[in-house]
Amino acid sequence: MEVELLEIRDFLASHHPFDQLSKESLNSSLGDIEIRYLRRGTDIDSDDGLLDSLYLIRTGAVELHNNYDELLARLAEGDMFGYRASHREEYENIRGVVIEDTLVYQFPADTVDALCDKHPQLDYFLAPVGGERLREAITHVGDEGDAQLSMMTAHISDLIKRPPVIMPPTATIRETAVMMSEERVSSILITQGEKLQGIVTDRDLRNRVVAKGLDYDLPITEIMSTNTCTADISDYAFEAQLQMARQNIHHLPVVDGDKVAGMLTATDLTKHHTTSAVYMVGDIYKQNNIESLQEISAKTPDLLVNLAAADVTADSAGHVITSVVDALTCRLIQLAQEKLGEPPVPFAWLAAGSQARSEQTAKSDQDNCLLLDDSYDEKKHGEYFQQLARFVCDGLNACGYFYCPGDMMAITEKWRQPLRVWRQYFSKWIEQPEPKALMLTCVFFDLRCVCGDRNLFRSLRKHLQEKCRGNRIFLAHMAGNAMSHRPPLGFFRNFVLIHGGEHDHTFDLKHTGIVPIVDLARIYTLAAGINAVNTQDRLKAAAEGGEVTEEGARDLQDTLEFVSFLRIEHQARQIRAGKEADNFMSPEDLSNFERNHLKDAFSVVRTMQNVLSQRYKI
Amino acid sequence: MDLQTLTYIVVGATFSLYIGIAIWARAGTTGEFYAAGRGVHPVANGMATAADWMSAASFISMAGLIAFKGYDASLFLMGWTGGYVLLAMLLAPYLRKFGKFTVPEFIGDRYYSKVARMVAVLCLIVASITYVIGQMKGIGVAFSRFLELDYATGLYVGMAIVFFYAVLGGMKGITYTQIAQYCVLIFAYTVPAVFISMNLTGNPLPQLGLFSATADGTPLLVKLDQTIMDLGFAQYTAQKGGTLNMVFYTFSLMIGTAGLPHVIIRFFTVPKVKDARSSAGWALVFIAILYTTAPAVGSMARLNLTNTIQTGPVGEVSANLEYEKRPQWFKNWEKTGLLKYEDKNGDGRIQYYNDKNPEFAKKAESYGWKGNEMTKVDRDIMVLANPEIAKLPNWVIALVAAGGLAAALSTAAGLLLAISTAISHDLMKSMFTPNISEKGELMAARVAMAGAIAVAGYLGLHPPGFAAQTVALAFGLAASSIFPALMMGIFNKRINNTGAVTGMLVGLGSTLLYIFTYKGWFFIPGTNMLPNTTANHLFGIAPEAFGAIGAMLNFASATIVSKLTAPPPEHIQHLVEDIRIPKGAGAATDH
Amino acid sequence: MTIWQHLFSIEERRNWWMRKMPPSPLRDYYEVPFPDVESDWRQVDYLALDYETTGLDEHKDEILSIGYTTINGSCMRLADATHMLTRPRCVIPGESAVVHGIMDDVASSAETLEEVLPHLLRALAGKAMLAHYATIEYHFLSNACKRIYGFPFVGRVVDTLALEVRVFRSQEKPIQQGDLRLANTRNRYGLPRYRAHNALIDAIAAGELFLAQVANRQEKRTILKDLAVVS
Repeated sequence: MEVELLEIRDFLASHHPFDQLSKESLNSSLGDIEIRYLRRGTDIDSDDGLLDSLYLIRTGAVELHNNYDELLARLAEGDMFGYRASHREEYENIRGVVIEDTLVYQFPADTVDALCDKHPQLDYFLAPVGGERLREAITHVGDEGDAQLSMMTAHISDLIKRPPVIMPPTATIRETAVMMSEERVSSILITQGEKLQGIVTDRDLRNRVVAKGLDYDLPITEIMSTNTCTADISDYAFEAQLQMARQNIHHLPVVDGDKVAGMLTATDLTKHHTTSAVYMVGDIYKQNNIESLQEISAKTPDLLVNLAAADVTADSAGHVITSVVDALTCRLIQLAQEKLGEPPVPFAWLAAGSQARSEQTAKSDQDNCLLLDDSYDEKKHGEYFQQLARFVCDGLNACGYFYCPGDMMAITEKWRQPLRVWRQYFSKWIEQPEPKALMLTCVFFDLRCVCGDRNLFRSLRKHLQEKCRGNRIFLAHMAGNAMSHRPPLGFFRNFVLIHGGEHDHTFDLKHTGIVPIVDLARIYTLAAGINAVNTQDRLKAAAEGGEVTEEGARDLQDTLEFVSFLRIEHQARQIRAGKEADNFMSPEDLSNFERNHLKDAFSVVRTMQNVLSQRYKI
Repeated sequence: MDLQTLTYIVVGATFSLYIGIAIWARAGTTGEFYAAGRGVHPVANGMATAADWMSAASFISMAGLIAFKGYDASLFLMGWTGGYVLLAMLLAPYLRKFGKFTVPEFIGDRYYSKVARMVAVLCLIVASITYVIGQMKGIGVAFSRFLELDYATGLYVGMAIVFFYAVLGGMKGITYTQIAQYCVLIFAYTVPAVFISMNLTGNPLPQLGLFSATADGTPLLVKLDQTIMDLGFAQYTAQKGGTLNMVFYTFSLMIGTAGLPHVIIRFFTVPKVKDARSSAGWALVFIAILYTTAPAVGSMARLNLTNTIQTGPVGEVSANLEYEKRPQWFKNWEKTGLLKYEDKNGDGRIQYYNDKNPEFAKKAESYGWKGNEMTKVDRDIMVLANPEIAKLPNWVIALVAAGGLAAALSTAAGLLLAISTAISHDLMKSMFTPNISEKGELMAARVAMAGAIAVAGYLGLHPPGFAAQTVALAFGLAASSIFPALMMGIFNKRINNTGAVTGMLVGLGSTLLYIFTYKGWFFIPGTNMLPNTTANHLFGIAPEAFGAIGAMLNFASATIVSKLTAPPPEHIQHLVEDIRIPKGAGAATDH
Repeated sequence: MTIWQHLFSIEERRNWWMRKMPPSPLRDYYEVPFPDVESDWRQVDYLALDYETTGLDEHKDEILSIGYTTINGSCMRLADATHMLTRPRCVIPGESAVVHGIMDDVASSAETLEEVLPHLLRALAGKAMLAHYATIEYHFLSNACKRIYGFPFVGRVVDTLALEVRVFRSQEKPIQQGDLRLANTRNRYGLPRYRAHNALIDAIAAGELFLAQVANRQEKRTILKDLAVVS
């Protein structure tokens, strides 16, 4: 392949998951690219080969709609759609609408498969359809052992993308801030000649300048951190990471001898963490017994700590961590099938609750259920599925995803039923929203098919949506139920803390911070009949559907990200200290700035709840 | 302890009880995630519904009307009770099956038209505000007496308190607060009634006391008839208005009840259809307790009032109460300006008789009376003054004040919330300013609420009638506009959007026109085009009773217009058929 | 088709030269028929082409590098992307080296044009040549063919610059200085900015521009004749 295709290679290299490939692999994959130009207003659906190729948007924007003509996603530069990128079963009837003139790089399906076979990173990202393919694909992990991807062997020099952004010590705070925003960096190095004097980060500007009301025209030396630790350009990446974790910093200046060579940020290391999740997932599929699965899943807390140290957004951390549970579940189902034989009727293993929403953090309880085909006959097949459920749920429990205290698991017979019974369940909950039903809806209205027959799941979901959409009486009950979790904010903008007991003087980040937003998003989604399950996705889709204003959705998204981020940091802190991770945070653990920010966040939630309760007259 | 302090304490205590329950209920729900809250028992829910239902009109005004109008006022009892049954049995189940919990939503969807929805919203806002006027009147009376202020000031205080009560609003939704309100209210209403009934007839049940004999052996009602006819008033137990008017009036009240927003919602807050039915039944029982007591309270209050002023046989000078010896309650109510005495013949005694009765006026002149000296006896004070007139203990009097406030505040707050949401969400967010931010929506609701209170307050100061009659007007408006649209929406699949909108506008327009003709444009005194007397009324039908006619006009015009225009789309027709086939509710209760 | 057009159409010239010419890569090129001008533009294969040269005079200046890739209808394939350096027969003038960055020492190790040209001609066979300001590419190629094989080069040519001029004309917009530069034109179609002056990148850039231009045509059906400058 021609090395002159640099422009295209560089583009690929700067976008996930291609950034995971080595230069050589990238070069060799360039030949598979076809370039296409799509005019604004063009429709591409499966008849036009939407699902026959993988599309990577070079410039422009494309919207994806489902067959109800609901907007699923708005994609922009660097986003992918088509074969395997729109793999999720609910998006099979997807249609792309080009909303800006768009240049796409297109990989034909067989090329994608071939690439994925060669590069497990691609394979992980372009998660495959169904368990069968997953198993095949996962076996490739490790066979190749792309060594240069490993944190253990990557050098810092491989990670540094740009020359350092520097300022002389004579610069003022304002000049420095201007430079940082122009260069779009979160930190800047202060250098005298080529020698490092200090470092200034966004956080410094916030905490040492804005929060203290410092004069912007003071020299930058007033606020810079001087005794900074540095890494050498020839160090291994993992050393840098260790250093960051140890010092709890997110920016590490890199030097080459005496000279400043660049800046390594936690984000630069991020992709390597997603890689470690990839390896975890890959490992999971190689295990053949519960004990070894247990061993692997014991590393989940470390994964969380790493993600937190790398400043990963809470949203992506949730996705990464959930992918581990998903893999565990799938593997357990495979193992169960090896033991019990092929299933007598089709089934779908559904994750509920936070696993379905891809919002798990530290280990949590398992919420799941089993949806069986209508040909299920309890007398003939009951035994098989009971054993299957028992095996998987026990396995999950052994791996630290403890039994659900509300028994919302597939081992409970009630939650292991054929489609027709599930339909009746949902009809009943929606028609008779008793308190118990409302509690169940909070778990079972967030469903995702982890493994098995997606068509089953799809018809259940369709039923549920048809029942809910526009049913204001039911939605009002949901809204009323959502009001039972209020942000811990008192009348005078004070934190309302738990008094007494084990968690004295704390507030519950999950139930009073995250759950209210999750509940709001669920109601918006049900009102509009949207498929999305992840809360961030739901809010985005709801704003597009007009259920909530763009501004309101954005506020809620930011709030959710902020609160979830605090939670991950909090849990990571606990895990590092060797404690059990929980959701109870003391306001004293927060800086003044964070406290204020959190109060703002909570009052956003409160406003949105008030609007909802006003609308539904509760 | 003097009466005022005691009243403060009792009112304060009941309100802290409501707030306490609200806080307790809220705190109680944030427990363990998997422990679902318990359902509310149908009996409890029935009580809450009854509290929603019973407004200042029921509590304060109805007995007053009965006291002064006698038999004729029974149409309020019949109309409201009938309306409740109609709503609970006929409308609520169908609306529920449709999945809509406000009337505008149902109408908007059924008639697939934003215009229809907007008209419904406007009708509801007009009807609700009129209904709030009635509440404001009651609140004004209660506060002026309770704080010993004049009526206007009492009303201003009441407006401020209603505003805060409604903005804090959350309390409205908590069933247990409603239950507490019902308990206070019914206790406050029945306890004095029992005492008075005991005093007058020796029968502790006022419902029976009404038909029992008094201490001197004559039945209570006979004695009342006699007493007031002696003073030239019309016979208490006789029908005075035209029968046609009575019938239409009753029908207006009945069908007008159907569209009022705050009560319908109550039926949907019960998750199970079965429970909804039984709580509707229980609510009827709890409402009946008050409604059956009302005639007794009214009659006995009238008897007591008359006997207090006219202490002996008519004509004897000493049989008329000396003004200087008037009891404390008389003085207190004088302060509010709702009770006025003018010594027309300068004898220092009070003569209270019907000087409009020409026969009796002549007789009165021979006694040296120069006209009725009770120049103003506001009917709405009767329930509140009743225990004082009957010389009951102070705590009973304080309790009645608390009960009246509870009735007025809860209904007013509920209605104001409904009005403010209708404006902020149904009008602004859904139609005029779809891009309004969430904060803007909240603010709009508050501004709308303040506006509604201001309008209602103004009209409460210059009321178009007594509280109960004002409310009757509201029902008339709802009856002529919303009820027909609802009924046709459920039972006639042929009605299309043009027909429905035309019908609503015709119904509302004709009723408003008729009312304004006799009551003055926008109730501004002096702007009426015809004097508001039975002789001038069309077929003798009072403005308050015109709602039923408006509804008929609505039915007729909607049917004709729909016949002339294209039928509604297929799916709407199917929908209408589906609502009436009882499969949803049946299937849902099976498992 | 009138007789006149028939006589002078390049298809006839192709036949003519094919018969006259001794075997050579050029003759191989001529053996494959040109794409039909009446066929839908999507049925046609194109070769997006660009050179770096020592200057703009085809008689004096030399080709330094050639980059091309194919477009099958509406889809550009990078699988065929090719970039070749050629060894000039003279010293590379300093001012042109500044533009394309090809230095003498690099160029001197490259193959000669005689060795490179057959590859290009093979790639061009049966395709329409596509370039931005195709005159240069066309004339340099024709000149080279004349010098090496003794016969000129003809073929269907699509010029993105000419297409862009038509766009300006149809919208009655005045053309400003620089409007028609490849980078500026691409910018108007929302295409990404590429490093200029590498033959392959420029060829791809021109190809993408072509796809954008065709996609933006208002006409219901576009045939090759509507697009080509030489046909």
